[in-house]
Amino acid sequence: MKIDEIMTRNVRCISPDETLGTAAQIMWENDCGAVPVVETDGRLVGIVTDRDICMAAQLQGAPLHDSRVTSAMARDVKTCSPRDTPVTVQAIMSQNKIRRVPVVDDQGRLVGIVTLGDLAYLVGKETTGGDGMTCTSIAHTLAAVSQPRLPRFGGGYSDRSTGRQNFPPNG
Amino acid sequence: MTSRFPKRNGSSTVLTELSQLRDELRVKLHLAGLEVRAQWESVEPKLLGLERSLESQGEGALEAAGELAVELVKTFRDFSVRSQDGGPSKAPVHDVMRVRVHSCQATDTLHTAAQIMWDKDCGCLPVVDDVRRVRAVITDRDICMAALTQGVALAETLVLSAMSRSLSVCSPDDSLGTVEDLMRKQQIRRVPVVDANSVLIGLVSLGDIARYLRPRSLQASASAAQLIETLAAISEPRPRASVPPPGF
Repeated sequence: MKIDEIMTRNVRCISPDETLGTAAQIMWENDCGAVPVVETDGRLVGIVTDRDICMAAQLQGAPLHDSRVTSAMARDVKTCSPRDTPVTVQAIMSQNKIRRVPVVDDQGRLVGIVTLGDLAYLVGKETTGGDGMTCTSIAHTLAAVSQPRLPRFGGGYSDRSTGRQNFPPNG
Repeated sequence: MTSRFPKRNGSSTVLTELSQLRDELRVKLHLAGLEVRAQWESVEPKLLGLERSLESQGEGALEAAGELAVELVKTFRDFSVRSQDGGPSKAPVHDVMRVRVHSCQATDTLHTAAQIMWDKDCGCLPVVDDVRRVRAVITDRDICMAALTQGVALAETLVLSAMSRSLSVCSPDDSLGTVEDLMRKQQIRRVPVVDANSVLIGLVSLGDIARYLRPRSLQASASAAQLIETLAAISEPRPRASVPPPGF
């Protein structure tokens, strides 16, 4: 089983120059909580989540249509390859405490996205070829993702893709 | 977990403990299912072996058997949980819930609510009245969408305009299975825990349940499968009609 068999393709994405209003609109229309940020050549440069937008709105104190995606997106995004296995991606999620992993090709272009829910669904169906991934390990994953993320700044979580580096609380 | 094998006590104490534990589990076995019986059959010979070596070698064997003993006790704990009627999904919410829950009021601004979420690193706040009765819940996503649909700064908008209209809560005495059902049906990850007067006393999340189950019963495939089902259900796209934009 490879990730390209279970990932969501044709993901709605956004350019870094667009506004948070547009990003929120995409989330609203697609009932999703994260929008990958790509350059015109399709290269992934970031990801922005509903939480990022909430926090940007709070810290910037401006309407969403006045803020650019670059002001809130996370730039250090953990990605996987379409050829990775679900087990590999699960490890990426657990280690980084993230629920969603964009899938990029060898040139760094976005080709899809895979979520913890996708993996849970896979296990729930008890499909063969899950490469040893079990209910046990997905439960571990969920548990890891759900753990408190403190310490918030620096420490072991500085590589987490939250875009927090863009939010110095000086408003 | 306090060890059942305090080192200062002699091997005879350990032996007694082991025998008692074994008898206890044998009784429980009457009530257990096939899966549990199979596990017992694999464990019992090890236990008997340990008891025999303790009997014949006394103190010396205790050291040598230490690791095996710890492993056995762990297995027994698992076994004991699984052989309870229904297993861990019957555990009450109050074993799992978090009691230090931050909240906000409907008349707070979204700016304040987002500030609390930022400070406390949480994504969900119960909305309470003056006596901490739960009226609604507001999430970071609700705030994001309110910022979109209302098009103004968060400081100019009240929690009231963005908080959820429907409210799902549970009691501390509800079982985890009940709460998981609620989460699946409502597609929510977090449920406020309230007392008989609707006063907020805790919050339980799907992640809390997963963390509770992790050390206890992950071999218990039924409950793990249930967890998966829950998560999968929550993660499915919701039908459009059931997702009114916050603030509308």
